[in-house]
Amino acid sequence: MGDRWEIYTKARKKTFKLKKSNNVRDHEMVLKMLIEAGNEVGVFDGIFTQLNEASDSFKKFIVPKVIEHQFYRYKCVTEGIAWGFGLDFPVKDSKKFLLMLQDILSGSYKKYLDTQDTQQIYTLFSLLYLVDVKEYQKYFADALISPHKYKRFMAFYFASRCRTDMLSICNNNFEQDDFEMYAPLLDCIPSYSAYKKGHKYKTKGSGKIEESLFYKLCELQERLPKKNIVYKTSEQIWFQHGIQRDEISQKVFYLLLALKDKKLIWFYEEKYYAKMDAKEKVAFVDLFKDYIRLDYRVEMLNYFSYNESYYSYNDKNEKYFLSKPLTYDEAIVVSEFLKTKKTEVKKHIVEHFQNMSEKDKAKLKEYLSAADEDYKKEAANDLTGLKDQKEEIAQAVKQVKATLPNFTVQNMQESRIVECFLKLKDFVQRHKDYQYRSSIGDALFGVNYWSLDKDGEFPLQRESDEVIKSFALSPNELAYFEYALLLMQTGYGYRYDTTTIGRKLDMLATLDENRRLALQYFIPMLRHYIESNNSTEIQKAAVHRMISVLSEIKIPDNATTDTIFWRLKESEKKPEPMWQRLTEVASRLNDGIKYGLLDNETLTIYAQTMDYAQNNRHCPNIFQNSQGVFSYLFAKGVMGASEVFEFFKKGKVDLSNILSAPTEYWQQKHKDRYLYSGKHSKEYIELVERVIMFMLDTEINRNQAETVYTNIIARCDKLFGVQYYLKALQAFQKMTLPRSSYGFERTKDNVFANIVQSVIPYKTDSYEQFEKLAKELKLSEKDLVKGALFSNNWTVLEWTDRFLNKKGFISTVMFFKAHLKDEGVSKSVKDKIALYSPIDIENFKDGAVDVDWFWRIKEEADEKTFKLIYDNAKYITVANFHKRAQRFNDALTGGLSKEECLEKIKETRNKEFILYYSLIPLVGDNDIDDRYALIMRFLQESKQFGAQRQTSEKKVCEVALENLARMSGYEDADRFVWFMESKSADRISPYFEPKEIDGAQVFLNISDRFKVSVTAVKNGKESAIPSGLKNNPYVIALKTEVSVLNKQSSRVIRSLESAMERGNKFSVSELKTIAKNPLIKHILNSLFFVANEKVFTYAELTESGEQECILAHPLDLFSLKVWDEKQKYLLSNKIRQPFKQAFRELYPKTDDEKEANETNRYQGHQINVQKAIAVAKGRGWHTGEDIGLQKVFYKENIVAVLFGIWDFGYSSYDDHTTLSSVYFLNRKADETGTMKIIPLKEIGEKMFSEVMRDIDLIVSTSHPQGYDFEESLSTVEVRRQICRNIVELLGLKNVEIEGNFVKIKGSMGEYAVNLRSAIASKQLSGALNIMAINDSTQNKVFLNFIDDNPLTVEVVSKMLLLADDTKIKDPNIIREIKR
Amino acid sequence: MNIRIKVKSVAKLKDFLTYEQYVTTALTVNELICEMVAFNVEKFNKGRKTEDLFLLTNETVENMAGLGKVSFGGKKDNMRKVDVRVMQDEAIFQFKNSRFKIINETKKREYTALDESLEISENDSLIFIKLAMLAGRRF
Repeated sequence: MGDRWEIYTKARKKTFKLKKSNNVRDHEMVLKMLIEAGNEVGVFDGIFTQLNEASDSFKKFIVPKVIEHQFYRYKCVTEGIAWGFGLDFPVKDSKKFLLMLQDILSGSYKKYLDTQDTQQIYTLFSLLYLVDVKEYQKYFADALISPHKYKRFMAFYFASRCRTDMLSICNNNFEQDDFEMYAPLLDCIPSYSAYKKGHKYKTKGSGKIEESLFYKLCELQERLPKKNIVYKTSEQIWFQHGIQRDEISQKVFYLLLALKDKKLIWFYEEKYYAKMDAKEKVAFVDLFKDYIRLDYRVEMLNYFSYNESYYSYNDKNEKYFLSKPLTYDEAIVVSEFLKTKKTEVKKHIVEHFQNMSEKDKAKLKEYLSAADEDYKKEAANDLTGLKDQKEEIAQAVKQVKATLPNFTVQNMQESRIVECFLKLKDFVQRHKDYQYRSSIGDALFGVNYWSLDKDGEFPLQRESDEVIKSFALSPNELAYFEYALLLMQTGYGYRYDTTTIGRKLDMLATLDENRRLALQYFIPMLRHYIESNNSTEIQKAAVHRMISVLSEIKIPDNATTDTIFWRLKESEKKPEPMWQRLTEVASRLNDGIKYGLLDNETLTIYAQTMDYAQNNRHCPNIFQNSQGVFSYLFAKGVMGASEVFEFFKKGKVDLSNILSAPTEYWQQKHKDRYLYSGKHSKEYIELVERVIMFMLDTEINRNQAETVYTNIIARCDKLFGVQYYLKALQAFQKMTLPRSSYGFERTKDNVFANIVQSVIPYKTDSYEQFEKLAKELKLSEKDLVKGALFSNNWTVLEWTDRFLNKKGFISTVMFFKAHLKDEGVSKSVKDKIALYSPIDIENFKDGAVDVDWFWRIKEEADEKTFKLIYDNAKYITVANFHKRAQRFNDALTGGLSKEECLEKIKETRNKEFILYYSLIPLVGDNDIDDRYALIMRFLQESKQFGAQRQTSEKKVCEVALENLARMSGYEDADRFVWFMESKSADRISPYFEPKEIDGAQVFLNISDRFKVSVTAVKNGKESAIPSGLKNNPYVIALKTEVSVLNKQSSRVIRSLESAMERGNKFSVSELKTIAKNPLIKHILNSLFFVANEKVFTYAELTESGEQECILAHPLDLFSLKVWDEKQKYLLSNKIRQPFKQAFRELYPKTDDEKEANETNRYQGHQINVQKAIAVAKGRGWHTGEDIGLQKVFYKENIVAVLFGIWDFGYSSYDDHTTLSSVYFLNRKADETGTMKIIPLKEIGEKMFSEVMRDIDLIVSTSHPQGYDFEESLSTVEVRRQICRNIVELLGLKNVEIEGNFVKIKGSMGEYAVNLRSAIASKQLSGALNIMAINDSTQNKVFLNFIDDNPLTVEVVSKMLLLADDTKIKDPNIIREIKR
Repeated sequence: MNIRIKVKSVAKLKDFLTYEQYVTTALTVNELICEMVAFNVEKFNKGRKTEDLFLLTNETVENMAGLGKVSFGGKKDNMRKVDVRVMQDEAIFQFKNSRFKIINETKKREYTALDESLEISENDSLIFIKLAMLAGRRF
């Protein structure tokens, strides 16, 4: 057969043609394709998503056919048709919508002309034109002046999108009573960005319309309310719309640009400039800078610092509001603005000065030096300093000899390359059916080369090493073979290697398969071989190879700038720029150094090469991250201290990483690139420290202009020399300390902030020096406190403490650092916090307060010291995160009143205040009850909100309870809660005893549903309260208790259930105390407990003499083999339990799951997301921003996550989410910010069971077609048997079931479908992106299928599809296969 | 006529495929689909009532635990009743659009058209294979 890809590409193009054709026979062919698509629904997507390109006659043809064949059941079909007709609203009812289209297109549109439905009105505007132009014009013209508001709205909206005369429509209809109408009307006027992109809309009347609109908009601006107006989505208008004030100015700017009338610009400047906001001003000045006053333009520099949203960062540098270069007179005006405190503005002004002509600059320098103002004098220095420094560096560079060693490297023979390549290919072919467990699950060697585990071990390594060994390649050949494979997989070998070898490589690369083999298999195999057989010879060959590559981009000495650029551009045009090749080879070299394999000769050559790369500014800086190499060269004596020093002095090597202690994770990840991180020799570290101090010497004396070291210093998080710390602090006497020190701009304040934060005293520094210099620099108490709070260094804090000599200083600082709303402190600070408090830093983040610690510091530190720290607390962190610590103090010391908290909680429901409220000193006996009740009420009210808010409020309430518990002297919140719940026992227990009133026994009765009611017994019969007793004070007293007790009942039941799920321990005496409350006792009586591996009822437990117990979970009953017995006990004694305990469903891990990272139990099932979230909310789940539905177990630090495919994203086929796997993640993110997956075997059985129980509930209540766990359950073994059966029955000779895979020999390749995950893959291509589409618009099919399980269905479908791959119709699937 | 339908049975430990007895009077594929849908719908509409809790013996628990869930019946009727005609139309639509296959296992024959004659004999076994819709991209 021919190339099916070709055929289908043609077919696809043909479909376009067919769609564009006006011939009915062509249309019939498209219809036939759709009818024959069968279960390949991708065909629909392909045809309907581009319907806007189809001919009108095709569109008219297809609509009735879609209705007839019910194709509208696929979302992509209706959406495609709507889009095809230019209708972009969300279709509510597909069939109704299509019927209307059919009517209009067939001419029966009259019945819709009076419609008030906005979607129908919009449809008429769009479609009438196709059937009756006159009718369309009349209908549209009438709509523009219709009394029906939304009809008018639609007409304007339509005009803004589809009419070329929109400006005049807008002008003619501008008078409207309702502001909402201006939303579509304003859309009729383009904004200035459209003008800049070249969209200019012509109008009749040479600008009269624009001018008229200009004045109308000015007038509208006056009339509009000050705030933006937003109209939410409604029945009539399906999108959010409104009027933003800046939108009007954007339109005005368009009109001004179109009119180009100076007078109008000045008119607008005069009248409105002062009223504009910053963003508008920037735009206005930018657009009309030729007409605008100089002082307005200079003012613009002010906005550089915060107009990120307006200009992208790079963009900023290109925006010059001032003419370039400045003239002397302008510069004088501009110099006044140097007074500003904004360092960025200063920096930009200085840059403008530096760009002036030499003559003007000299004059300006004279002026600035002679000026009285300091800020001007400073700028004068900047004009001199930078130039001199640059020259000095240029001189230094010239002195270094920059030549490249000359080499001829022998290449590998062409025939040898091919021979080795084919042998490796044969190796992969031979083992293609090898199955193994890879890091990502079951894997087939022939499909992809996954590593075995995270350490990067690969399958069949011993065997592949043997094969490579058998080639008997010399070191030179090995180096070249690796290089050749790298070249080959690019497919452009000849560009890099212009010998016949290059051509040969390109020939091999014409087969996609070969390129994939080279990249995915051979390179890793070869690297492994080289690593395990490393030798000096191999390394030497690699160095030579690298240098020969480098020489390819060697730039001749006599090159002009043009030729240099040409060469580099050429190199970049290639699929992978040359320097990437270079980095690949350089990494081989690092290996050599790692294993100490390079001899001195090679090292010297290497050093020379580096020198070349360093000094040639056009050579890519591949050694930027090679501090490790310098360290080695230094250690080996190849480079002396002074040489290394000179090298670093050039400021090209990034030193920011070398001294910041890399984390273990980071070291592991970058072990090749940063091999020496953390283990350099002492002398080398010392050398680097000296270099850094050398750089700091320059940097600390800078003004606004950057120095050559600014970049390095700004990036380093380890700097040395306490003198720089103190000098930087002194500099901040005149500048504001920016609390977020990592601004993009390397301004003086940003870089100095980094110095304050990152300086570590140098080993020769002493406290005495600190003291002396602090005095010399006249640093105030406040300066030093500010620095100590901002710095990350412990010694700095200790020296400041010693210098200030204030008691309790360090402890107070640490208290503030611990109680922040974020984690804004370094790891070392966190470690120190642990010395002061037993509370975990995570808990502090959640809002926990160490009350004891607080009172300790209040005792130790005097009021003045405390206040000094309190007032400067903002320097610890960014934004307002420090406020929490301050408010905690206020609450604890009475600075924040109970009333104030209550008011905030009531009015704004600010949850921070729940925390503060829990800390205010307790007054009187009832105070604690009130607090407890309020927190409980807050929690109860939380139910009305969304899942996410519920979770966060619940968390805050938990922490507040913990705080309150600590305030009341309890060790944990659970104990405290039980104490609170049992508190009223003495008061209420008499109410449960019958009391005779007027001949009736009145008491509180507990129902079998654990609810309390007031009951009367008269003459031995239970009855309602006799009417005569209703006003009896005792009865009234009983009644008032009822609702309180019923709420308590639900609360207690909920927390007991949660205690059972989590296996919380109770002491028996504690249970006895709380059981004094008759209601709680009644609840406890119906439950089972486990103590010492025995199961008890409550009564038995109290008699047993046991001290501690847990509430029995079905898992305990199951493992103690008493489950059936306890069920019988409940039934025979007719005991109802307050929550499911003995009859609770249990979800144990299956054998498959015990070895897996995830469970696929619910994979492939569909859920209605809204319903699922609603159900999940009730079980404590919430939706995350980035990951699916999740439940957080705070104490255990585990997050259970239910993933869905395209969670809340878009799908062409339906609106339901298809479930994927369930994972358990570690709540504490690792260094890279990811939460690691916890293997299922490490998850407790109870937690697993409860999570599965929740999900089972979520799925069964939100499944659109009904779901039953037992019916849908299927295992790998079931699937295996079903597939075998089908293969046999259908006589599929090209399909085999082997292990966990269905293996298929198709016409376009060999495939495998994984029985566990249903993922299909193709040999050497990896996974195929073939989706099973679950169409929730379908009803359940009531037939006795062999298996309903979605994964089985997916496996079988893919198996049948791929077994007959010549019949595949979906072009996207074919592209997948041919990719 | 008595025929058998092949289905899975996860309760079994080894051989997961088993047969269900089924009585049919259908002569064509169309009739068979309509008949079976009608039969199942009736069962569905009748059978979705609250069942009583049942006790589990330790052995059943062991068995169920191996499958990943131990439960006690007591299902709640939260599904609405369904209409036979709608469900029959749905099944026919899905058959026409290749959403499932019907194979006569005994005669090794796949039925491909609705009006095809079944030509089944006593005790023949049939397999209904459900298929998913497939696409090379989702949007």
